[in-house]
Amino acid sequence: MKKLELKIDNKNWGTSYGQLVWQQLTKNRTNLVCLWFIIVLFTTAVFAPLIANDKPFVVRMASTGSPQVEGKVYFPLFGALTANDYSVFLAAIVGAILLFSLRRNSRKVDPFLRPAVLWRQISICTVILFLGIILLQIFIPRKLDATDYRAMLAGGKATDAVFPLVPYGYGRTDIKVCQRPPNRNHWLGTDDVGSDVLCRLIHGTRISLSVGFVAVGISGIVGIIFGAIMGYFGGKIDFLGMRLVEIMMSVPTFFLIITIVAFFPRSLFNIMVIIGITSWTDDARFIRAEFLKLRNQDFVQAAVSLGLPLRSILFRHMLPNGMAPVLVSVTFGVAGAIFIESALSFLGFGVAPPTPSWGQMLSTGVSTTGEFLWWLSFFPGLAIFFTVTAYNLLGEGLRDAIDPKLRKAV
Amino acid sequence: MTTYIIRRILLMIPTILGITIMVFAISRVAPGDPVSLSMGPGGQLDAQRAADVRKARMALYGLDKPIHVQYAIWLKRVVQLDFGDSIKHHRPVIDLIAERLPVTITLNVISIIIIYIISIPLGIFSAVRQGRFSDKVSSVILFMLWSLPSMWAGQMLIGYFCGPTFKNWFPPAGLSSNFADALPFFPWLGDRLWHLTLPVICLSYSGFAYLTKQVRAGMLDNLRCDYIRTARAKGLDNWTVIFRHAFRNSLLPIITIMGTLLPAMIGGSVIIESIFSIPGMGRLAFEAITTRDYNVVMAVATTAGFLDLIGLLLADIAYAIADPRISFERIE
Repeated sequence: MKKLELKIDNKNWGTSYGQLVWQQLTKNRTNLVCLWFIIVLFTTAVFAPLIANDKPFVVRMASTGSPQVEGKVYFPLFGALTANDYSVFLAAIVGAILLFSLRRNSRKVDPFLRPAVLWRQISICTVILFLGIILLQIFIPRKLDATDYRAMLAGGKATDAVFPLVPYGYGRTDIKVCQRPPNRNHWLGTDDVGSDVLCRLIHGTRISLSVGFVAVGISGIVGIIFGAIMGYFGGKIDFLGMRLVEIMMSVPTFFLIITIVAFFPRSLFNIMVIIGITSWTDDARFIRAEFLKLRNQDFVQAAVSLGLPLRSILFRHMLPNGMAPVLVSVTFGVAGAIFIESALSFLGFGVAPPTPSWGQMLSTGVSTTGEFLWWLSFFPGLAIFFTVTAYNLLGEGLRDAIDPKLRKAV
Repeated sequence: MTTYIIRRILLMIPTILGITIMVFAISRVAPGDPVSLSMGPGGQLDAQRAADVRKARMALYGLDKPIHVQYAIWLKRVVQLDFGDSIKHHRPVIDLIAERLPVTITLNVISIIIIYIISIPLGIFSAVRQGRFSDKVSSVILFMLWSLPSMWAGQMLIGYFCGPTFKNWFPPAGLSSNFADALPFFPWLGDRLWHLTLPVICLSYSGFAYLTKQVRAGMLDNLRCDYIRTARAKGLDNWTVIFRHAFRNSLLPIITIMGTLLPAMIGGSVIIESIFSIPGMGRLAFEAITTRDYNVVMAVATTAGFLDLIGLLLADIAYAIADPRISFERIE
């Protein structure tokens, strides 16, 4: 049997809406800078334990040590990483592969096949991710390595060691070097228990970005479901839903959040959920407005008359056409969630202290005696500021790229 | 006009009910019930006794009744402005709020006035000089101010201006100096303003950046319109065109923005009041949460909702005054 040959003729495929938006977005230099900044931020967050860690990548034991370890080479950092760290690496790699295949699809795959191909890629990646995480959780042992490799190096027990860029752990306390301004050893200074500020800043990226994304994910899903149902059905459901949105919006969000925080146990997960369930109202309003417009269009009528299930009408036919304004509000939402998380940590309602978080670091800048340890406030604040600004700028860029007329509506 | 205002107030009632339901629901969905908290680990009681005590306590707190009855009882007390006692202060919560609320309102009103005073001329100015260097610079600065986290700004200001380390220009905490009540009026006012300078700056810069952007956008939309060209063609001078024609028409969105500005500012006052130790509602909420003073937390959340609704009501009334069409439409 002759092998079926598919000839790729991508000359007259035209440009999809997504590609148009992407082209428009990347045309602007500010948006590009923001995108790169966010990519760098993500890389930092994912590989934080490889960038800032007090375990060396490689260490060679001295020949004067005990006979078992004499002259042997160890890789303490990779041994000290937990299964969760490896899972994060895996998730990042799978995510990157998915992004690249998205890019490849737009060049190599026929537009009609694209949704199916993308769907297959997403399912394969999800399966790989889940299997990988389960395997990692089973096979990576839990262990505690409390060896002070720097002391070993200084004491002559080890001959060579390659440390990460920032050779400090985030939970390390060293009372000898506490409250030092930026210097040669500690580039951004140390805090009141002698932890390295730069190291905590790098590890804090994880908290901020994960809160930003999970919270916005939750609010996006809730908002899309509520908004889609309100916009599609209209009438009484719409009226009741909008009253709910109005009530949610009339309590100042931050008050609502701290009220919930007061009653629930404080954990990272709870904070993500709380921010998520209090900030879905904007998404719901935008989706509702879009769906109200789309409801009477021919393709929706066609989908209804074909007897498709509601799920299919709402999310496969209508949602892709009404997604644009939500993308913008989601981008702003990430900035908002990161800001709220740091405000909560700043007030002491966030994650517990040994875990580094930007807001909590920021709050330590003015000591109880009124002394101003500027580096403790300045750098974490700068990190929050840059991150929030990057997302806000990107949101504005996206809004302009999607539809210049939206400038007024959103 | 009166009809419009009355209708508007009546429409607020379901929202107020909704707010109370939400606050009540949050307090009841939360894990851990007050009875087990108050009973502690149980001590030497045998199981039967413990269950009896538990039942008695449930009845004492009214927790044995169905949830909607509990809500009705709570709502009845809230309507009578009785939020129970504060665990920390051993005083009725409503007294605490009556003490703290004026401070927060003063802070927010001053900030809102400053926001409007600065941003309207600035917005008009940058819209008129659209595309020029000064407009670009002010746009960039405003965007940065808009994204600037208020706790960072507050912390840096208090560290730099209020401490022994750098400049010692402003007081680091509180609303007035010791013995300020004994001062005559003007020194007292000066002292108060001296204390309020930094908090007001922190509370207003982000809103003023946002509002200026909106004023500029609204003005630009109007300046492109045909009637502006007509007005210019008629030979009106530039200022008349800008203020009497373009600005008046872009006034409405500026009023509506109160609706988004106000919740953000009331929420933001939690952070600002905590940084500057100002005894307002935000600080009360902060303290109540750290001490798990649940009655106060619920009361403050409800009050914040009310405050916000009243602000929105005022904005709507201002809107109706600025645009006569609105009130007429509603009456008919």
